[in-house]
Amino acid sequence: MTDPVVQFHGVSKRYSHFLLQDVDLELPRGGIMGFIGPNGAGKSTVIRILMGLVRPDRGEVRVLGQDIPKGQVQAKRDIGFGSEDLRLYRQTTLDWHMEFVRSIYPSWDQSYADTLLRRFDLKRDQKVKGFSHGQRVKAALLLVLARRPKLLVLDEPTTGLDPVARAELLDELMEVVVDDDRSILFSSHNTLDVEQISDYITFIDRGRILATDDKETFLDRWRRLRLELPPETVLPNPPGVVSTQRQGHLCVVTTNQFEPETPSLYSAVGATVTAVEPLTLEEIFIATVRTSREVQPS
Amino acid sequence: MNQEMLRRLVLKDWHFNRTAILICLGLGALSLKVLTLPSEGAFYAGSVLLISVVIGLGIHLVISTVVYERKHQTLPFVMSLPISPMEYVVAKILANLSIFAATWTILCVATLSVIWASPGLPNGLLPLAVILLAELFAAYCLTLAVALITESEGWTIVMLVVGNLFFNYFLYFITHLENIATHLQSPVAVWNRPVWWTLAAITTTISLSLAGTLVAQTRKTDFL
Amino acid sequence: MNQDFILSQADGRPMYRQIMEQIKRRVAVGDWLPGEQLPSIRELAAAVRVSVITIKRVYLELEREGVIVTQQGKGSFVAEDLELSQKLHEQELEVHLQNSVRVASILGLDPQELQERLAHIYKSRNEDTE
Repeated sequence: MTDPVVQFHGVSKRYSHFLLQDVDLELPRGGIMGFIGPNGAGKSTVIRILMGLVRPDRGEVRVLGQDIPKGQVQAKRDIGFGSEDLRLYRQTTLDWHMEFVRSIYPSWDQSYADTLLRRFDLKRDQKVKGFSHGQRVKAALLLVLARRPKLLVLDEPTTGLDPVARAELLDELMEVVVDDDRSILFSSHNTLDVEQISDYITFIDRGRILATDDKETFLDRWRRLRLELPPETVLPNPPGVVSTQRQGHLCVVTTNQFEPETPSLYSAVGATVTAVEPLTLEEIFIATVRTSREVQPS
Repeated sequence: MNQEMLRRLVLKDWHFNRTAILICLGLGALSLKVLTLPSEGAFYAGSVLLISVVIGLGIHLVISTVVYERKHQTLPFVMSLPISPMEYVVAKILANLSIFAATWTILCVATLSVIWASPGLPNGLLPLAVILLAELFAAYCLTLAVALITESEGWTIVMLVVGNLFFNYFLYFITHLENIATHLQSPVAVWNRPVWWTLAAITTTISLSLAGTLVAQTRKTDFL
Repeated sequence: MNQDFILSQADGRPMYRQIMEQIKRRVAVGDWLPGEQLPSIRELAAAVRVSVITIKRVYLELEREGVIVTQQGKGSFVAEDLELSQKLHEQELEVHLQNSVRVASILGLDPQELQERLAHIYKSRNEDTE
């Protein structure tokens, strides 16, 4: 196994109104990690720490084999960074930016840049000032993609994009990982994007990592069981039950530790399992955040 | 230090400010022309215009290269480049000083030549002109330092206002300083001790504000 | 080999299930022939626009079911099993029968009644086609 491209160990950072607490994170080479959290959960802080732009109070960060922030210059040569609040210079053209970026990174691929110009329908001699939000996001993405960086770090790349632009962007991200040496870490509060293209998923809320795992494991472990019960049935309480809603003869049990034998535990006490349903990532995310907030109220 | 990246960042700021530099040089030439017109009113008008050009250039540079980088959210773009936060600040100082100093030097040399060559203007004005232009340079460096250290538009504007008010006080103070005032109308420039002391104080202010900016940057933990 | 898969966001089944289903269908109808090489995991992931890990899982499960074979370092191929399409249809039937039995037991039907219903559907279908 090669080293992970991103590794956080016990990273903490205190602000007057926010605490990022003991963040552990690992992104294997060639993978896509979706970083999901509500607004203000600490996604951007984690990403800034990763880029060396915020120095944590405690903990170790390694990115592409470099200690961060010490080795940030070396790491940033191979990182393509995009963020919702990143803007290009409004007074000049996309062409100027392409020349500027090309002069800095030897890996710049002009023919791919030209392809992206066409695919994204951008005009290179237009001033950035005149771009729409979607065009700005795509222009900024073009500048990082055409460098073919080893690691793409994108903070909320799809926020504010229309569905067509979002699909275009996801298409390009998928192109990136055809090469198994290139990885992506992106944050989003749109779980649909994350569910579709991520290999690994990390949930963050209120400055703490709630869960991090590969996507299939995530989706497999969570199930909703619909039961029919004779009255007075006492339900078993296996580990992993997140919620139980009982109304009359019907009951819905949500678990995050589903095993093939789980339904038989309920049949054994006389319940009929009428359905075993997978949950969408969105449902899993909301349930995870709620459970964690119940255990640790703010 | 990553010299190649520093060079690119400095050139970028030169590129974005090329129009402003040309306008300042044009207005500078105009003010020097006015300065030499044979009337006392023209002398004052030319001086005021010249001082305004230097102050205006300083304001424009600090706002456009430092304050706007944050306000217009191009800072994340710059910081994502392979540079360290310290290199960013060094590049900003180099870009600002080189643009300002280049323009300032041209205006300075032109001003001194005009005073020296104009029969209507006594050479006794030369030390005063040097002191005033140097003070403007120092005020500019202080504003740059405040902008880079606080990264706040508000504090930068406060500093600009304080700097300009102080200039008026400074002008009054220096032209009423006995050892300087008495020589203003003299046909030869008098470089006496008070002149040198004032210039030394100004140079120290410049050095301290730049050194302070670098020290402050090493103590910061958040760069975006 | 055509790699366009159309997945449904509204389909309740997990994505890997949907992709497995569609690959099996292609094999069953003979669009993907026995012995034919499948696209690499990363290629297919990019083409379908789903994560690499999902396609990995698809290949793993398809291999377990005997639909494809994976040769270390060479890639994955549609299994050279002439009975394959037969087997896939068998599997499909099995799933539907299981479901029928489950729903029947919810309705309280005994096996006899279920068989009668089945016979009835057979009969009406034969009448339709005549």
